[in-house]
Amino acid sequence: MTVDQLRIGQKGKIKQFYQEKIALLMNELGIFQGEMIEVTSRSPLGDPICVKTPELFLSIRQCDAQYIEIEL
Amino acid sequence: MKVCLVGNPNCGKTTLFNALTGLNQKVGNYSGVTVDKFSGSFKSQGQTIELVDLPGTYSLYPNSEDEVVVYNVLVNDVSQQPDVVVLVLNASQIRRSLILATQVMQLEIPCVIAINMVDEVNEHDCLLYKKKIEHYFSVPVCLISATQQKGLSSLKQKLHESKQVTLPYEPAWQELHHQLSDTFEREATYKDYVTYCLSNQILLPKQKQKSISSIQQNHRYSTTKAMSMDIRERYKIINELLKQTIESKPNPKLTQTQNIDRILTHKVFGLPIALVVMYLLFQAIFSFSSYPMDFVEQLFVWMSNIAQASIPEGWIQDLIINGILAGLSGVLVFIPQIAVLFGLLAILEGTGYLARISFMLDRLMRKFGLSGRAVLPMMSGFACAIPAVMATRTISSWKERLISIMVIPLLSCSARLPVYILLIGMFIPEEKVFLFIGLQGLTMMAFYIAGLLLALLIAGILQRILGASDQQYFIMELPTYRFPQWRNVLLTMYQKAKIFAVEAGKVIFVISIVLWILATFGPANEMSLVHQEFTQLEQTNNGLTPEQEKLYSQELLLHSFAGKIGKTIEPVIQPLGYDWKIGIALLTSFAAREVFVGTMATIYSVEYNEDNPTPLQERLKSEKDPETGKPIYSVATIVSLLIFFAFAMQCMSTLAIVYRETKSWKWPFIQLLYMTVLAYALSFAAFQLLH
Repeated sequence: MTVDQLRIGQKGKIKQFYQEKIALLMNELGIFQGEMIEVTSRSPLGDPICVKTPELFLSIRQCDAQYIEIEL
Repeated sequence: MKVCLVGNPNCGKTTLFNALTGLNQKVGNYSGVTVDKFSGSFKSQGQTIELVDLPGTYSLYPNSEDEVVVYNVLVNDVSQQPDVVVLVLNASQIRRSLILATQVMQLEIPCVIAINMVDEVNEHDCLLYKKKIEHYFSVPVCLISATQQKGLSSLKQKLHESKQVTLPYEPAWQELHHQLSDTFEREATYKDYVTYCLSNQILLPKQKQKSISSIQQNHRYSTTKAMSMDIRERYKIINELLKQTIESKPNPKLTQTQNIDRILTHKVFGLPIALVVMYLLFQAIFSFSSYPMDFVEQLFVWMSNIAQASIPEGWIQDLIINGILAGLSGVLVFIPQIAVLFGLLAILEGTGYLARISFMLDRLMRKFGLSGRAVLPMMSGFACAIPAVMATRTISSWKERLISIMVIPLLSCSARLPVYILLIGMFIPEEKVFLFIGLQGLTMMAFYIAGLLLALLIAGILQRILGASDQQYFIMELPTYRFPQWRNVLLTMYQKAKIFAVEAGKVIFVISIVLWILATFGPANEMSLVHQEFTQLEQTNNGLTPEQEKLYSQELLLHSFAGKIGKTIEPVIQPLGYDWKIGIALLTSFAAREVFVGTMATIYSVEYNEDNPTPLQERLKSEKDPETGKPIYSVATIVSLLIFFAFAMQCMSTLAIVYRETKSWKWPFIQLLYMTVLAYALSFAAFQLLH
């Protein structure tokens, strides 16, 4: 299951990133494999979504979120 | 001693910088790069310490123009390397903050670590962080709170204690490390690793480029993978080190932020709230800035009165009053408005709300080839395009950045406001609609919105022309909500206003003087003929009637250089409803819009050699076409003029900045061309339709 498939309020543990560049951008922000990630809200226009990790909030587009694999 | 501040975005670096340097700071340029360099100084232990605030970045690997500066200063350009680096960490994001910190420590530059925002994390954890980091990395650490100004003296002291950190370098990718060592014929350092990773993005000196290209050709080590591995390995070490300090309870600030976001980015109310905020922003500009603007105008009336009284009549007096003082006031009168808007934007940014606006509008921006990152530059464009274009440096995609730069000048900047006020007041009555909304204000808003819509439209078109860009990401941290730091806000206001005053100011000032020269002097023989004719008339009739005075000034203007130029371009602008006098004003305002009203005042009051009590609007309305007898400033002409000013590229300073930012004359030229054509076409259409 990927992050863009999560509903608001659902959380999951990051299994892997399917794109190297996404992995790099997330890693730079301190988000790695094994971290918990939760979808907290969505922009009024539908996209991007706001996700929460133990340390911060992140805005990410759904088309980018599909490359983050998680397990519930 | 030269010290640099390095840290993540939103870690309070700027607050620390402002706290340490106070007003002893200036804005300059890094050599060869177009990013502003914020440097200041303070004294410590008898020494003057030069402090430079580097742009915030998450790692040494840059994702945008301004982040490249960090790489250049710390890794690439030895001449810019500081003596000491202060690594500013965010106490509530200590692990993430350490990624960049450990990278910098491995560059073998003396470092001091400042754990900032300790007021947000409990004391026990902070002390534990300090102990562990000090012990493991052998680097001086201090706990500070820049907002509360705590721990700063300890930081200053530690600067003198800093020493090079010998962090054992364990290359994340052994294979790559071996190749680098082989190619450079010495043990490869971390700097070499970083340089390899950036070899696709940044132009390296020829020699290095050659060696690195050979590695790339033969082995094709993915630079993205190399960067990821580096960061992951670091994080493993950091996590291991701070394992015992994992807090069981969540950061209360995060919960607070989430609750606020529930309202501010609400599905139904989120956007209306943002619209209200933006409307209030513009209301504030008009209200707050009119007082300082009046003050500046009064100041200059006062100064010209003094000049008139103390300097003998003649062309020097005229030059000082109508050339120099008029030019200066033309610059200064705009500063309050620009400062206020940037102040308000700084407040929005400081609280963290601006990031939410970017978050909410991203999808809309995407349709036009932009992204959420263009929100701040575009909002800035309503104040002044110059800092707005500079603000696009945070946009990582070159195409997105270019499109933003190309359309920002279509947004109604503060220079257009006096033109709008002058012209709208001439044909829209002061009535109110719906009880409290003024018709004039509504018309003004219509022009602002038109500028925005056109900007988006052109952006969309540019996106089609430039083609689909390579995959661009919009992954942005939403900072926790906090109170804005007033010191930061005020300093930002000062910095942005200064950019305007210097960059635009010099053009406005020079143009005002040039205009004065052109309007006062003309071909000697023609001018003397006019003088002869009217002095004779004066003598025969014992004085001139007001009508004759008016004619005298008119003739002088007609035969001046300005008049000649105006007459020459008259045929081109007649289809738009303009005459030669408007032509003169258009010409001067092509360099800077700000001079339009001043030029009009000059053109029409140059005709009166006495005190002119009639406001400019009345004067303009009474202007008649000498041939047909009809008023020049018909509704059609006024609307046409308004539209021209709304969309034409009339700012040399902006073109100069666009050149600097795009590093080529091609783009400012295209910008000038398309905007002129656009303005001409729309004004033409408006005039012909309303005629």
